[in-house]
Amino acid sequence: MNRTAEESHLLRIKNLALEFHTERGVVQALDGVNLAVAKGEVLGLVGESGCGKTVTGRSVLGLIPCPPGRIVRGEIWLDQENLMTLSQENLRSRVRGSRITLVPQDTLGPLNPVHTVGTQMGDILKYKGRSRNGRPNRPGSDHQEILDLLRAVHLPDPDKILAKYPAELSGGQRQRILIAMAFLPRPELIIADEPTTALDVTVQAQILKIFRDLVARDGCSVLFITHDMGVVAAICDRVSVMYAGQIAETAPVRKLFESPRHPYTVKLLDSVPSPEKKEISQIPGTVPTLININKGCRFYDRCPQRLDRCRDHKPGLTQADEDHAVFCHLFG
Amino acid sequence: MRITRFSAIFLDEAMTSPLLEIRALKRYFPVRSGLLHRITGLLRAVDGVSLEVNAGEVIGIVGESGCGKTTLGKTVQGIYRPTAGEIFLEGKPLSRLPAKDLRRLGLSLQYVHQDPLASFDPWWPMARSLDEPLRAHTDLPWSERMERVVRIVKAVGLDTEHLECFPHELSGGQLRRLTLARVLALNPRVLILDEPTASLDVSVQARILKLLSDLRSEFKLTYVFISHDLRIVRIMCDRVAVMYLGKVVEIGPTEAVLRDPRHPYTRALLAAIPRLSPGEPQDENLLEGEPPSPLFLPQGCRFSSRCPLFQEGLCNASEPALSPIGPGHEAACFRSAELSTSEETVARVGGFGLEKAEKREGSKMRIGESDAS
Ligand SMILES: Nc1ncnc2c1ncn2[C@@H]1O[C@H](COP(=O)(O)OP(=O)(O)OP(=O)(O)O)[C@@H](O)[C@H]1O
Ligand SMILES: Nc1ncnc2c1ncn2[C@@H]1O[C@H](COP(=O)(O)OP(=O)(O)OP(=O)(O)O)[C@@H](O)[C@H]1O
Ligand code: SF4
Ligand SMILES: [Mg+2]
Ligand SMILES: [Mg+2]
Repeated sequence: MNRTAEESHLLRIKNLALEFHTERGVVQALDGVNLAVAKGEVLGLVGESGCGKTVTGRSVLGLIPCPPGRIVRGEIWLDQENLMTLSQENLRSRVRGSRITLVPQDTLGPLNPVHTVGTQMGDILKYKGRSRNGRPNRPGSDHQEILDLLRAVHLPDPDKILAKYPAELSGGQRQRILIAMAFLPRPELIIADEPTTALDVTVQAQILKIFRDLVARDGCSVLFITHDMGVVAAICDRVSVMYAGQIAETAPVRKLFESPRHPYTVKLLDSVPSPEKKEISQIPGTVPTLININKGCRFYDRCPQRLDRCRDHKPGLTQADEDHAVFCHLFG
Repeated sequence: MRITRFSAIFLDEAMTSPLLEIRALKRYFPVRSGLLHRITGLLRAVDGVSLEVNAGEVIGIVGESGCGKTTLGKTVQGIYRPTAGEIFLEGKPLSRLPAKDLRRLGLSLQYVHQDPLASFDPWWPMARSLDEPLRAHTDLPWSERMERVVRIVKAVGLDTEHLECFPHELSGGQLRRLTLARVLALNPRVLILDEPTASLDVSVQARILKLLSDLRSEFKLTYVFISHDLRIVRIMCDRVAVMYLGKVVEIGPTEAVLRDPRHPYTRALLAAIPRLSPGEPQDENLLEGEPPSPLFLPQGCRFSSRCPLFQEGLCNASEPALSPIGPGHEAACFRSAELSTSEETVARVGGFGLEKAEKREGSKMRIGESDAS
């Protein structure tokens, strides 16, 4: 990626390494993660369960609990600002929930059980919406904006929903509330962590469409975490594949689907069910636990094409193409 | 075909009555509004559902978010009291059973939560969370309980190391698998699985489905399988019930329903499955109209406000009841006869290829035989 392209990126994660110090040992959750999301772009982040997608997103927001977590290396840039140098106080008042919002993976925890949905959404505009893009704050417009968003995420009876407590909503309804909340302050970046897992296909398709529409309207960027390649195809511009805390490959969606390079990506795409293919291949073996993980390529144990040097030497970046990055010894 | 193969195992066991029977079940929630939070209406989350589930059968429940799937599951398990209707387990009405029998029977009917975090104590390591129900409900000594827990945790693709973790230290998919493991350790006979594979990647998904299939053939488990993924329903379920606004609108053998959907809503569900084709516009032929409100049901047919086949004077005059279409296949639509078979829908749903996983993994994924005793 050339310099000018890099600077046009809204979010840049450089060489991020994250550890959790537990009684069991040191969990090396992230190791040398590089990601960049351009303005107005939707970047997909995919990978198996436990590979570090959620902790990547939470690192950006400064939501990793320390201890036990510790960012040992790396930089996270939002536009011209290095987020790693900001204090928690600054992050909270200036970034989290205003410039960057999160659609969390868990739908029950993040909502406050003792306040109604309406109160919680109102608070977002009250405390996070003020500074947003110089938007004027007309009385009464807040309520209208909330109702419009709830309608946009296809919730029935928006005004009734506002009077409800989180426990009175279905899983998919809570998920859509959280999506609406993430869009509410008109952020520059949305980190959407598996935002459609509780939704059936009809609603999912509508929600993906809303993501596209709102991204187009507000020009915001999205880091879209998912495990569903169908969803990636429907919404993402580019996609990064993650394996055991490392990025394996990054490319525009079509390129990745048509010519995947990393052996893990190949396996991952193979395992996607599709109409033409009646079978999937399960990737043999399981993701290694991230304690005492080998020094070299983390896919070594499961890789069908491994070389000797893969075991002890961490693969570096190879540009398979101008916009296609691979981390694998087979190519470099 | 897989599905018939599974069914064949259980055909010889001519059951006289279904293992689980749900009769005209209703669960309403009061709706409050205004400053005083007065009850101003009733939300009919489950509005007259009848189902018979035979021993060893897997019945899928599908339907839009908010249509009442979780409420149905929780009411059957006893977490919610039914507003009306009755639930029979092994022919016995659960509401009229003495507490002692209920506890014994209740243990064989388990509900697996849709929200993985909801089922764990944040202050307990996983080992304790998984052991606790076993300690409370069995006489097994600690060592045997742990052995069972470890076996099941391995079977869902996790390690003993994960047992030492607290809930917040685990990823979403890891937690979901532990939720399932905890319930499986209790050796239930009927499992109500609420979206058991949501947020799992395909590889882990395949593993969980394989495990559930194995357990089923080994212990004749019965599953009520709530899911919004029709591809998975197609592999796992003998029959499928499609719910819309608290009611079953179509039910039948899975292949029949997916091959020949006879309710316009089932059609819409099948049409919305995303395909692997980047760039190409996805089917925008989605459900039209306002999302339905379970508070103000449309006149006549529940689906009439969004139905492309709506016919004035017919569909809004009365509510269509489930009526037979083929063997075991029923739909609640006045115009179901006009919906003809469409091969395309089947192609869309596709296969999931469990067969292949089965071959490779062989018998490795079995949970120890000793559990059968
Ligand atoms: N607070 C913590 N303490 C210790 N380990 C942790 C902690 N948080 C996360 N981990 C570990 O870090 C790894 C990555 O977790 P993460 O939640 O990012 O996975 P994920 O890719 O989001 O998976 P999923 O698809 O299942 O949600 C996991 O192995 C997890 O056990
Ligand atoms: N405890 C409750 N109090 C009031 N209303 C409730 C309660 N639980 C559920 N509801 C309402 O009942 C309806 C059905 O909810 P339910 O959770 O059963 O849906 P679901 O089919 O499981 O949806 P999802 O796929 O989103 O999980 C929803 O409109 C929901 O808002
Ligand atoms: S009864 Fe009428 S409105 Fe209802 S699904 Fe059938 S055609 Fe549509
Ligand atoms: Mg996650
Ligand atoms: Mg539910």
